[in-house]
Amino acid sequence: MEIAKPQSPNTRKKILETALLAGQILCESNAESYRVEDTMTRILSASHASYAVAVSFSTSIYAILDDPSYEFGSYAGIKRIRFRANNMNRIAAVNNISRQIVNEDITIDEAFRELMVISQTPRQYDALTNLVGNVLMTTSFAIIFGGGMNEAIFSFFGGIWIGLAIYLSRRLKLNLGLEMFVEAFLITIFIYGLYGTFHLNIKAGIALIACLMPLVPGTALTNAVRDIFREDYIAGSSRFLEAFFTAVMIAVGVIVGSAMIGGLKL
Amino acid sequence: MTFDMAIVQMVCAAAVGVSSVIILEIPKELLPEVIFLSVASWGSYLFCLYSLNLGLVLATYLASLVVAIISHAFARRYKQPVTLFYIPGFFNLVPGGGMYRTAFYFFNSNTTQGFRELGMTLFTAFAIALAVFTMDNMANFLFKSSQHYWLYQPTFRLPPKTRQVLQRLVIKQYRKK
Repeated sequence: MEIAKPQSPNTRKKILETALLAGQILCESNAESYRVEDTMTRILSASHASYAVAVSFSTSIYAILDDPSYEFGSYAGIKRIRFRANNMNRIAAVNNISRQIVNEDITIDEAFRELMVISQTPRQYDALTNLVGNVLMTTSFAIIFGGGMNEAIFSFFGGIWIGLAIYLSRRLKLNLGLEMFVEAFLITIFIYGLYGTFHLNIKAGIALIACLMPLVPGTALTNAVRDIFREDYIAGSSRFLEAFFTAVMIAVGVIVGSAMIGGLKL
Repeated sequence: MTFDMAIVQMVCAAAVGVSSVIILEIPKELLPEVIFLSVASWGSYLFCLYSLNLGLVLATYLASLVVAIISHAFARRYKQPVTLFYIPGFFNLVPGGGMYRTAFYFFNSNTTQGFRELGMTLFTAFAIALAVFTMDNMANFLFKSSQHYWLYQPTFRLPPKTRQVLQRLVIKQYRKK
């Protein structure tokens, strides 16, 4: 039976760094904590250390590597996650790399380089496609929520407006709460402004909710409950707070906007 | 709900699938699968709600179960992580609007309505998570994908050489799959 060759301290450090980088990319792309921990543990297992633990708390990740044969002590690393946005493409790419590491198809240096490339890759779809996606979403949600043709046309223009607002606030790199507030405020001004000025024959509430659909934290809430079901209570509750905070900021934006337009109620 | 209204809603669900591919940055190759998932989830939700006359939460649970089963099948077929199919599949079931309405009513000091919305939202999220939980555990049980996990747990102390041999064996077995 073949036993793994002893690794140099540099290799061990590289393995730890690779695992942390993979965890960071996954966390920033909104993967569930269970997947982050699983991927990191699998990458760490390339070191064949007897004690390899990875922990993800959704706002920070920790990894430690120790073995009785390590003469200079153990290796540990922490990363802080400050930024989160849905990006399934990166999750798929990192998953691919971790599969290759476990199968020993690539060395750890190559894996680290690949992960660096993944973390630097820009978004797959450009700004115009994103705008089209937002418009498609608001229009179809207006019909799904029980609106008719008028609401759909109204949400079409609302979708263009919210798409532009999202694009602008991403360019300005606002933080999450402020971004949600500004976008919700702008869309409320737009919808209620047009509705009040031209006395259109629409249900403004349906159009407003449909236009808010790109912002609302439904996925974050469901991911939070999923983490709680996996017994990751800290990660779950931090995600739950994130969802609640987002919802509160959207509501504040809507309330301030409608107060400015003239006290219209939903 | 009439039949042609249901058809219109399905078309809209397909459009939501396309937009979720763009917004969630899903790889381009998976576009048809995501559209299928989106239509299947909304279709089964409407079926449970209007044909079987079930409640909102139960309908969400059953629709999510359908999504979870299809997602696991796709994930195994295309060798992609299952999250890639879960998030777009649940996109029109997740209670985002409810979360917003909860905060809205609380801000307008309409506490009764706020608590009602909060309960509904939480239980919808619970239903989706429960469906995911059901299906993940079933898949673990059927495919035994994480059997080797105990080897890396610190509570299980072995002499280092024995552990290395065991890990080596398990990795080889994993590679065969």
